[in-house]
Amino acid sequence: MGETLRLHLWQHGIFLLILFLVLAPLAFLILGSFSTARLPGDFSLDAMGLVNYIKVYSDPGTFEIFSNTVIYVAGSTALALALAVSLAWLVERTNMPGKVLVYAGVPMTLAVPGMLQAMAWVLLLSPRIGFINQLLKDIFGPETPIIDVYSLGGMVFLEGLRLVPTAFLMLVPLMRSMDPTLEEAAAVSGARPLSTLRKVTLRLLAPALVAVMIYQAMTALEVFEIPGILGLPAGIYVFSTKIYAIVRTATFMPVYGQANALAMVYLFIAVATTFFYTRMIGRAERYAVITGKGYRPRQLDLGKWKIPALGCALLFLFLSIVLPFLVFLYASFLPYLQAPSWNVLKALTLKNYRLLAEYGEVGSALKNTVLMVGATATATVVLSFLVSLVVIRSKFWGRKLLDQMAFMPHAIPGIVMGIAFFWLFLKIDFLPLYGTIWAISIGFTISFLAYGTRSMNAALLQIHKELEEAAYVSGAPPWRTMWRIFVPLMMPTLVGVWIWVVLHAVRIAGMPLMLYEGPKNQVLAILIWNMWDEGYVPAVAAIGTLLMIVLLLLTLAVRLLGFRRQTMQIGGT
Amino acid sequence: MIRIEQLHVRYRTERGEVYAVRGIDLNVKQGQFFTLLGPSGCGKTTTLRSVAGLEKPTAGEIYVGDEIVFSSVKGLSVPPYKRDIGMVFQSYAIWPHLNVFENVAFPLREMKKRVAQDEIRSRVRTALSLVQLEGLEDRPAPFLSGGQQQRLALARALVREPRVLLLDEPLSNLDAKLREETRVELRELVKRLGITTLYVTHDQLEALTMSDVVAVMDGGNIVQEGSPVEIYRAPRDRFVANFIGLSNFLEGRVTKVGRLGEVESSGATLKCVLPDGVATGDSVIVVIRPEDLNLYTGAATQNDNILEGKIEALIFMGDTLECQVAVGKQIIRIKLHPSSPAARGETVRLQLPAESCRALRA
Ligand SMILES: Nc1ncnc2c1ncn2[C@@H]1O[C@H](COP(=O)(O)OP(=O)(O)OP(=O)(O)O)[C@@H](O)[C@H]1O
Ligand SMILES: [Mg+2]
Repeated sequence: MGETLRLHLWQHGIFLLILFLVLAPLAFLILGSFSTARLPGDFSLDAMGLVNYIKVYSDPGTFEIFSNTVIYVAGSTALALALAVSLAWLVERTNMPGKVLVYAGVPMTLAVPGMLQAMAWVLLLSPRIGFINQLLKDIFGPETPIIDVYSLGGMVFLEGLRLVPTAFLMLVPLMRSMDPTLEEAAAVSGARPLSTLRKVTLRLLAPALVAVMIYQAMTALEVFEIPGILGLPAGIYVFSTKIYAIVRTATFMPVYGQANALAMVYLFIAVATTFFYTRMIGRAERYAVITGKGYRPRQLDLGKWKIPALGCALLFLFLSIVLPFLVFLYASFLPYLQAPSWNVLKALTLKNYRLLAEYGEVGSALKNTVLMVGATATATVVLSFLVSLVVIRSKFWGRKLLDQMAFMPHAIPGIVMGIAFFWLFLKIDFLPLYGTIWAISIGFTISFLAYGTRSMNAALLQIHKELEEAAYVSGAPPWRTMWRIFVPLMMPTLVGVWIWVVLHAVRIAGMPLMLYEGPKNQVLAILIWNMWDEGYVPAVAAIGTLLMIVLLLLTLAVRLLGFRRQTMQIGGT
Repeated sequence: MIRIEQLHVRYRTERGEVYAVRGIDLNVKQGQFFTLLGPSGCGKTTTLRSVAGLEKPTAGEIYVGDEIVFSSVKGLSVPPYKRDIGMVFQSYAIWPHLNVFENVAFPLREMKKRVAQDEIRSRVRTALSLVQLEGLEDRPAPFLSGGQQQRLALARALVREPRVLLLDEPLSNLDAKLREETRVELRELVKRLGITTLYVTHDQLEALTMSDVVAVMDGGNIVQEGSPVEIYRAPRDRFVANFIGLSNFLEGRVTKVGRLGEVESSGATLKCVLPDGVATGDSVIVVIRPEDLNLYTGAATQNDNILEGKIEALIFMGDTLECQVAVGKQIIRIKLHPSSPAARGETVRLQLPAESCRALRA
């Protein structure tokens, strides 16, 4: 009886913990949006009101932000989808050579942090220092029009590239398992290959494509790094960067309440899209044009277009991984920033790397990052595992609610989550969390809980119930069963989720920036951000190069360990 | 050894309630091989799992040994890991991350009182030799054949020397030949060890060949309980007669009562064993097994209980020839020797030995 009671306590403990971690920050976010106090966390009733909402939503600037956001999200999603559909179609449904390169290369692009990629493109295409722009000027004279990456177009282009791998990984299995007789029927009815593609293939894929599209639009909406690096310097704001600017720009006295009020609409959009998305997914499954049979789909003969097609695919890989990496590698050996030339090659130096080793903040940021990332990954794995055990394997009354709670943070943009936690940690000052790396860790853990529990739920469902019951009748109480049966059987998933979280926690800058206080909780992503802001470009390049190498190796490890399912769900930032 | 009183199990599901077990009573004596037999979905597994503690019944009491392990009235439910049981699952539930040795050692390592390494080793070896798996200790569990997995599951269930062994269709995943061999082996093994066994199956042959007592279940109830011979020879109702073995059913009306009474059916008068308490004029169903009938092409040697009919079909089944005879509107099936000269369309006479005809209340 005692043991049963303890089990109940455990289940309720986890339930309450998740409930608190998810709902408390949101409650503070909402409360804060009504607070007119200058200091965050001051909710005295006389300082409450709708002022923030009126101020924010009557500002004509807000409309511009809205239209910017729409253009940015729609543009990047459309670009990404077009690229991803083409790539997936090329590798699955045509006889393009060199497919292995695409299969292996596209997921690897996930290893390049969005922040670093944006920076690399600034080095190439900024109006003043951009290597390509300088080259253009050198060739055609100073009057030539240049390509300005600090623009909505730049944001659309880069975010479009960044969204491709996830969409590609979602589309490949769909393309692969599509019943080829449907297309063959069109072909024998006299349709040419291209009109078959347009009239049959794409039509059949339409529901799934819409689902992928919504998912990608949500990601674009949420991403902070790309609009942050490319938009902020030029004063082009989208929702995520505006919220950041309200809170973090030093020139004004920050108006936290207004940031919260702005976050509300953002939150609303995100939650509404998630709702729509989950319903859409259900519909897509009902369409059921996609069957699970393992037939070999018909492959279109590309003829003389084989090589150009491969060229386009490789160009994508070049732009997404190779070029940013080369730019960083090059810049990291520069004494000071300059475009490539013969003279520069002679002046290359290891000084930046040496500097990193000597610069104190790098060491402390590195230490903070390792601690933060390790704690986040471990906490996410442990918490997701326990939550999933309760959700999938117990008869606990609140298991459905618990599952939904764990999934909800997925809909909340990181920057909103950051600001919500910012309020929470200020308010619960009896816990000395504010301004520590643990604050960042907790924020990330909640955000990644959705991914963690999805993976664990799926893995737990695969473990036959009788394997668990056999342990009970062999005399093992629940916690021993967990330890001796579930943990070892789930090991691949546990490791997979752990690595996935590491890969993401190390490079996302949005939420940490909201919780950043100073060197004490400075992590690598923030250090890079700050150094970039202050113009230490070659040093940033050195850190970035090293970071990219580590992330590429980790991504490679994930692939080699065979966590295909996990990798397929890796979202891009 | 196992006593169940008024066991009720209801499941709550999204589509309403499933009333899986509806008031079962049973009593398994020390050392007995007791089988729950019934069609799919009748609640056998649910009953077994309730004894194991894997299912929480809605009402009732369960005793294992002298200990009460479940009582809805007292609000008592001993968790499975504290019950003195061994169990073999239908899927065998061999843990794939452990090798053969560790699978069997698992229950020993989970014992309250720590068991010394040496003892674990010797007890695992004993258990493995009981099921003839010696020498496979280091084999990873997924590399076992179906039959080996089944025996490994048995070894794991036996290693703690529980007083009660629970088996849920342990042979259903084996191929026909292996199943036949294992039936005998399994019964001999548990009999030798003197373990009280509760066995669940939907295979009547398993139930009849292995059990001391068979309880036939239907729709969450036990409809008849008895030795295999009793169940086969004297089914209490139509369901049991139909479920176990093949039966012919003849509808009729009682014309004379007595131990061997008379029933009028298909225009003939049949002498048969009547159930207690029927009166003249009651409608009954006469049950007779196909192997009990005699078929005559010429004159019958006896004049009692004769039905005349025409052979409708002959089905060759290897060791027997099933002959379907139309008597009036009914078809009666008879088992003949395969070399029997019966031919289709032939007019024949069937003789029904009175002692083999059992009338059941309709
Ligand atoms: N967890 C459950 N939730 C809801 N209904 C259940 C559950 N388990 C069993 N049932 C239902 O209870 C009834 C009895 O099921 P049980 O598994 O005991 O049947 P069984 O006699 O073992 O059948 P089988 O020979 O097919 O194994 C069935 O109608 C089944 O659908
Ligand atoms: Mg069953």
